[in-house]
Amino acid sequence: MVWTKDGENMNTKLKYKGLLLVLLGSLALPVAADEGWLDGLFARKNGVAAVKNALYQEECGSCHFPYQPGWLPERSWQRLLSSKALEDHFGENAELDESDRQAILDYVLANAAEHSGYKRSKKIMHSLRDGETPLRITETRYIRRKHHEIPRRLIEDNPKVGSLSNCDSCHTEAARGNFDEDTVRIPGYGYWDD
Amino acid sequence: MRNKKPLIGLLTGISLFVAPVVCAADSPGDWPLADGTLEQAVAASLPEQIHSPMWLARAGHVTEQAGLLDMQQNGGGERRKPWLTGNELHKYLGLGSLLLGGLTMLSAGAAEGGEGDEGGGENSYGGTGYDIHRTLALSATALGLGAVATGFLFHGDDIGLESGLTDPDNLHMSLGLLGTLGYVSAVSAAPGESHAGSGTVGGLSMLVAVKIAW
Repeated sequence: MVWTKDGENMNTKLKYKGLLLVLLGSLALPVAADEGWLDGLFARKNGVAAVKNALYQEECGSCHFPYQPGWLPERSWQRLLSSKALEDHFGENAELDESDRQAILDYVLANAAEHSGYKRSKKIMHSLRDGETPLRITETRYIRRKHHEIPRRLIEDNPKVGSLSNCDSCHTEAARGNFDEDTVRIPGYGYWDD
Repeated sequence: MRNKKPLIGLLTGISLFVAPVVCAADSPGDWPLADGTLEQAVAASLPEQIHSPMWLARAGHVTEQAGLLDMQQNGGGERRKPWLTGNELHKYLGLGSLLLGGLTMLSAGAAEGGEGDEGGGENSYGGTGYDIHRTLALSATALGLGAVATGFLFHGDDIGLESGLTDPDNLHMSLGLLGTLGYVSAVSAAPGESHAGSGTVGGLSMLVAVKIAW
């Protein structure tokens, strides 16, 4: 193909405009992803799977944050949700109807950390030693390591938090299973970055 | 001479990337406060009443002091999330690198058969198509290097061999690094030599690295 000088310049300009559009697009894509507009196409799995069981949400969530099953392995949930263990559930009687207990147990076992494709569930499993059966999520090495830099005054001595176990006090999107550090807001302190 | 520029740019990028990594590796927990210089400077700038032994008693209290300073500067309000966090910067650099890598691959056809004829022999390189391909490749590589550097800086504590190579963060780091090295290798070999292979491997590694952390 033969190009005149003017035609060649026009062609070059068009290509540079195209390149500019592509570069602007490359900026727009990450923003669109961050805003969740592409979630249907690329479901994010960098947290833990959100709780989607109404019974679990109602029975467990009425007393404390309904921890996602993906935070602990099967063996932990089996011990935590045995009939005997529920009679003394961290100092409280949390007994359930047998049918409800079994339904909740089935749900958490099916969604326990070792069965999850979510990143933080995998991180939990990698942090456990062979046979280790943590009964508190906050006792797992992964969770301890992720929080070790936060001073006591911001958690235990902070009346609006009180304990690491109150996940949703600081993790503003905890219920959705999003524990990104960008979503952390410590009451009385604000944004936290480690 | 024209082909020296990307090489110089790359070397600069690599040194920018290596420097923080070396510093961080030198003192992983406390960097960049290892010698206490900044710690002392912050302490000296604080009001008299918080120069108590309690404040200065333990290492790592600079974070608390910095937080207090921020709160004082905000008139007692809570710290606000910055407009761009380290986490977001790393994410955008990685996604941008992946996207530009893909576009580089798509523009490869336009790069050949231009008017400049720099390569000689069978293929010739030059013209707008070549420039676009070259610019995209260099941009993808620069963003990749930036993503690797910010990954080590902001997420270095998530990486550790004790969790094994199959740990998601270790895999993400390894593949991201491999992807960027693939880009660097392709850019260094281009034009003329066969560089599509390392570029493609780099792009695929980057894709999987992003997916793992997504």
